[in-house]
Amino acid sequence: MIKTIAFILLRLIATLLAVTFLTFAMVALLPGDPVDTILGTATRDPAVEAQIREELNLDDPFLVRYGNWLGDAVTGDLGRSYITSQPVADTISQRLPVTFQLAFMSIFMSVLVAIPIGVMGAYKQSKWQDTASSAAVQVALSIPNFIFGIFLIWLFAVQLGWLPASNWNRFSDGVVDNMRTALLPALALALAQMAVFSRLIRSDMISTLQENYILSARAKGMSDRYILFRHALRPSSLSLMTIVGISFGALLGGTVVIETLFAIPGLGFSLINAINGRDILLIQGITVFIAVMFVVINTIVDLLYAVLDPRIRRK
Amino acid sequence: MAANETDIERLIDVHDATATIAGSVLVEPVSSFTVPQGVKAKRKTPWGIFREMPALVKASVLWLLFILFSSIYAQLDIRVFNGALPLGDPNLQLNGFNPETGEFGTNVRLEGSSWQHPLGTDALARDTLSRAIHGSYVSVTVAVVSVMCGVIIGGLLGSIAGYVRGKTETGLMAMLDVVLAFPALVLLLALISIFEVRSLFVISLVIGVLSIPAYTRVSRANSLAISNREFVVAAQAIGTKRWTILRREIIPNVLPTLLAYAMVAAAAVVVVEGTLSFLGLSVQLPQSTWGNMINQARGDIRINFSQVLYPALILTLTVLALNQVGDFFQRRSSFRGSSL
Repeated sequence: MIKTIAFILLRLIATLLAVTFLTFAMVALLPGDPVDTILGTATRDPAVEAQIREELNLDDPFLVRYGNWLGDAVTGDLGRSYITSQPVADTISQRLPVTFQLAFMSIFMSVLVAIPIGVMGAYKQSKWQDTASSAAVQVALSIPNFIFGIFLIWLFAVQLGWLPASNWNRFSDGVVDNMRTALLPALALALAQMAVFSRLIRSDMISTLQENYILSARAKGMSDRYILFRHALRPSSLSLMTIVGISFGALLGGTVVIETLFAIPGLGFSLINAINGRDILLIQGITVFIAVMFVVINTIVDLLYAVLDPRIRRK
Repeated sequence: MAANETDIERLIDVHDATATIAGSVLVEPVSSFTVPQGVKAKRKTPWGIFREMPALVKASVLWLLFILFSSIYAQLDIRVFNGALPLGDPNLQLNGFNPETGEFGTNVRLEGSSWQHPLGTDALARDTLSRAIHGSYVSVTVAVVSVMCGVIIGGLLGSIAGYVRGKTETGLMAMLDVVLAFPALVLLLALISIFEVRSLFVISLVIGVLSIPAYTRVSRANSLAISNREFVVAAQAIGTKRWTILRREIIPNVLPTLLAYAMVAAAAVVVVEGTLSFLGLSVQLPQSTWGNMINQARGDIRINFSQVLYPALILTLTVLALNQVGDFFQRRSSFRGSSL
């Protein structure tokens, strides 16, 4: 057990080092001089330029700069944007709750819908209910989320006028207002996940329903509904937890398009703005932050799995 | 002697459950019953595979061929025939100033469907059908480049890793795990942001390189399974060289599964390119792509939804078709694998 956990943690550290190094290298080896970005390419004072070089340690060797940058990053200092001179960490901490809320809502919705669909697909295997839901899942998997998002805007904002087409109300501005702006984007993100989750639950349940303990529960005369949701669903919760964890990590980056579409001030939207404005440090900061979150969440899922499932522990 | 032949025929039928009995048998008449050398699974012609597909998969294949043909047609139009083929100029703004006649065009922007413009015109009064056909070229190129990178480089690396094992495998997979540790879209955006000029070449190359790790994983898993099979052990036992085994035993068996995966992966790549162009981070304007058509038209959904609908429908149908065909080949190859 302890050996497994130690191994997972060791792998986490190695991956984090590699991921941060790759992000840093990507930006540091970029053609072009950061000083040009800060001062502009017009005539400039050599003294000021030297001072900036000194401040940013631009003349140090590459590995030293990586070490310094990593040391700062661990303490929460990702540098200041060359363009707005706002600390990158501040931007991230302002934007993160929005993305977090979207990710959480869409996961919640997709699990809520996926469980009944998946359970029904397994229960009515090869009957018309299963065929229909499988076909719907196939289609749902093939619709890109930004297209579904536009369709939702067209339907609920333009045609029906029930919900706003874009914009964002903060949670502190009132829960109802916040929900009105968060519902459509979360729904747009939920579609593909719902498809993935229900597929997983269905295939998991089909194998569970063939187990002997299901047969004995049936022989005891328990109702089908009780067996399905109390007995058969439980073993699937482990794999469901895994995929929910992975999806949550992936969503932190995956919200990029939806946030842009709905003009939501989350992490993804500021990443796109940073790319369009060529705000190098902000791109670097957000990329490394999302990647680290992704790796850490995946590791937590691994750890939970090791703790909860004795079969993994023994390996 | 006749009995021998029917024996072999039966053998073939058992061996290849999908074989049609009516087809001619690939066995030469044997004079004495030795090792039946000609006995091998009958190779299906593309037409034969097409015929065994369910109707929906058939329709998907036809749709994909149509998209492929459109992209070739658009390129022929530009590069060979100089716009002489019957297809409107995708960038001609029909209400713009025409220097030849000295007049402004009369077409209204966001026009509905008509005989001249089957899918209508967009906000700049450009022919949507023509733009969609020219846009297919970008999607097809990105998908083809990514599949080629994945199958050739990823397939080779994965086959080697799964067969050779040891430090080669550990090192290789550790490197790929770092790439896979990033959320794919974020890494792609970060890489794309480095390039000032986003040509089709750059876009397809970046997406292609980023697709390699996933292909490597798939082919490694298959190569691992195949390396333990009796025919590989037999080849090793008679002293066949490693590279020869890799070339003649491992790779031909990894390839069918990998190609089935490639279809599904290509679907994902088409979505990724659509996303990039939707964000305005793919190839430069005025080159039309399905994604940037959707992006340009979405501001006008209150006036005319159809301009969003057509490119969105084309993109979604293409992704759906790729998934359907990929699933079909995946089922087929797993069925064959289990019956071997």
